[in-house]
Amino acid sequence: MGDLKLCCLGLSHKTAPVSVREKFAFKGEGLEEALLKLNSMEGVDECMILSTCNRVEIYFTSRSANPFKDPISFLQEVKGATLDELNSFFYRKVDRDAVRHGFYVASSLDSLVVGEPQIVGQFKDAFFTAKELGTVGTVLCRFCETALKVSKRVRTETGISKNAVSISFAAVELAKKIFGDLRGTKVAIVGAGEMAELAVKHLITNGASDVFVVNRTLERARALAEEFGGKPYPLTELASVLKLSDIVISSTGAPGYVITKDLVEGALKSRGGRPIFLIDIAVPRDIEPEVDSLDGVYLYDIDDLQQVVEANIKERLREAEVAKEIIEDYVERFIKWMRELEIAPLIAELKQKAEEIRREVLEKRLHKLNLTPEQEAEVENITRIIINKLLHQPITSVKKKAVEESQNQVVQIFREIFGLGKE
Amino acid sequence: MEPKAFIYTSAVLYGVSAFHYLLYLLFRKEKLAVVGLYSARFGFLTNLFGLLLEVFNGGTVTLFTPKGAFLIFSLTLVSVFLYFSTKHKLSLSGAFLMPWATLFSILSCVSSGAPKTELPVGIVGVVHIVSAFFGYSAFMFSAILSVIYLIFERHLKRKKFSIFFFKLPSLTKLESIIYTSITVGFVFITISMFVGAVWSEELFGTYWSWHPKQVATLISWFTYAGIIHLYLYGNWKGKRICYLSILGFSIILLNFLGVNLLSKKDVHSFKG
Repeated sequence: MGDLKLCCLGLSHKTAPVSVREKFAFKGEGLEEALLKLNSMEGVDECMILSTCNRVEIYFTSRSANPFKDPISFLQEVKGATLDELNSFFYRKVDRDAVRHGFYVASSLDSLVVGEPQIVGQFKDAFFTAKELGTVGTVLCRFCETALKVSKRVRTETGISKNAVSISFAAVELAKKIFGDLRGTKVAIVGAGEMAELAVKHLITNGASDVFVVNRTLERARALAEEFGGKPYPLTELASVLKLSDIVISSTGAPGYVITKDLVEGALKSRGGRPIFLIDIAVPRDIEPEVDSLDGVYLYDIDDLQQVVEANIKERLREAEVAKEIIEDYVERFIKWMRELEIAPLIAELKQKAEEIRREVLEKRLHKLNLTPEQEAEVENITRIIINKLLHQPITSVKKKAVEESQNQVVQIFREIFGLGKE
Repeated sequence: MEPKAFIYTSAVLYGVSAFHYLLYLLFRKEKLAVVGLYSARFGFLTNLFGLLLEVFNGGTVTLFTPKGAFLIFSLTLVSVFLYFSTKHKLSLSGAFLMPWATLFSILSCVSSGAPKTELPVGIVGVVHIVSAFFGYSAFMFSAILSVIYLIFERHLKRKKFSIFFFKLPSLTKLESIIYTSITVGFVFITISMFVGAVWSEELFGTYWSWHPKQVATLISWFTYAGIIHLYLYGNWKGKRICYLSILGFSIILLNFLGVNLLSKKDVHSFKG
């Protein structure tokens, strides 16, 4: 029997195209059946399968010298995987690498969008499914619970999930940087487009109270306004709408500028110093670029919003570095726990053996000495103390060595020195 | 017990805090800001002990010396900073403010602690001095935040996504903190003026004697009253309140530098 190993066999958006990911995905009952089948294989002790649209990963523990043999034949059998696919798309990770990878995945460091929140839920589901079916035991349970704990710490202690990574959310984030709380802010939507509608919906969810819909045709304005619970206006009333609005999203199909510098300047005068945030997502642009030179006006076009998204992604990656430091600490602790878990039966065996020798010798010799009961008790104590003191150092050393080095070798030497595990 | 050790320690701790906040500005690592905050907090405590020991050893008259003045200034400045930065998560302001606290505490280390004239300070004097420095500190904080606001606003305009974008609350929030800080400063400076007049009557038999310090303080008071009025009723918001706040603090600075540090004749002068 070899050492206990925690392994991961999987593929993700980083290694495989969507067509391959689709092929290997496990869903619903298929997942449960697959888990039970995998768990019944000889080389697999505990297992769980994480299957999302971006990754399929099998986490398992094994004592086999070639731990991946069974999971690979499982994939060949269940999913019809070819050797070529297994070699080019799947990664194999063992022990420290597998633990680290699992923690990265649960903390969303390995996701397509770093910091996205869905993966924690998916990881939790994968764990609970496996737990219900009884395919996870001490090691994988502890691994998953630690992964979920790490992921929570990473989310609360780093800014990895902050900062919007989509254009429409970036617009909301910018509005928040200007106005703070969006409760009570008034939003105007000029023209209509899918992205503009989406941005307005996000703004409403974040507290924006009034929505004004301005359109060339009042009919269309009415239809949209109904959707948002807002008020419709014809394009001719744009000037008065601008005076009322804090956030203006423009996406008309007009060939020229719809919102000019004069128009905004006029609106600013009656706003009592309150700033105005203009988002131009039309191509060609709707808002005259010179508007940006006005004080208290923040004009962002589609490229600027894209820039915000890029900056936010960079910021998330920066935070991911902090997250990695947190995770590394947990990886080390987990590996230490696993090694100690592995060495525990050996230590128990040694202690038992020492106790047996002690008892045997005492039983043979003690009665020859004609000691009083008090003296016998004292001899019992002395021998126990000697054994404990003698064993303390080798036990501490083997625990330490088992964490540091290749465990198999250390355990082997330890067994040989003390003659353990022999009949 | 000698206050010296505490005063020196607070200068070192403020220096450590300023250094970490400046590194935070460069590298954005939250841990740096945490070190900055804790050094400022411990520095605040040693500063407070240093000041109390000074007063305990030499009496309240020590507050009326350059050493005492700088000790109070750094203490009140850091207390205003700790209050606002903890309440509104304004770690970034530490990079702009803690270097000043460090400077003031270094000045307190090297300044004279011997009183020029033995004035009976008493409770009235202590209230006058401490509230004046709380006022100055609140105004200084609002001026520093105004600078931060102007940089952040400029970055938003130029579509530059720096640490100001990621680590600051919204412009509106900053503006409201600037305004709150100004009103806090105004309340303290008003208290200081009134109590100062009472003290003046106790010492010289007159509430008002057109001393340069009194005139300078009156000008500052009118300036800030004007700023608050313009903000509330004149819609001088956003960048304008920032410019006004910086202007107001320059007047305070002229008042402090001109009267306390340069003038020889006045009772407030540090020159002997």
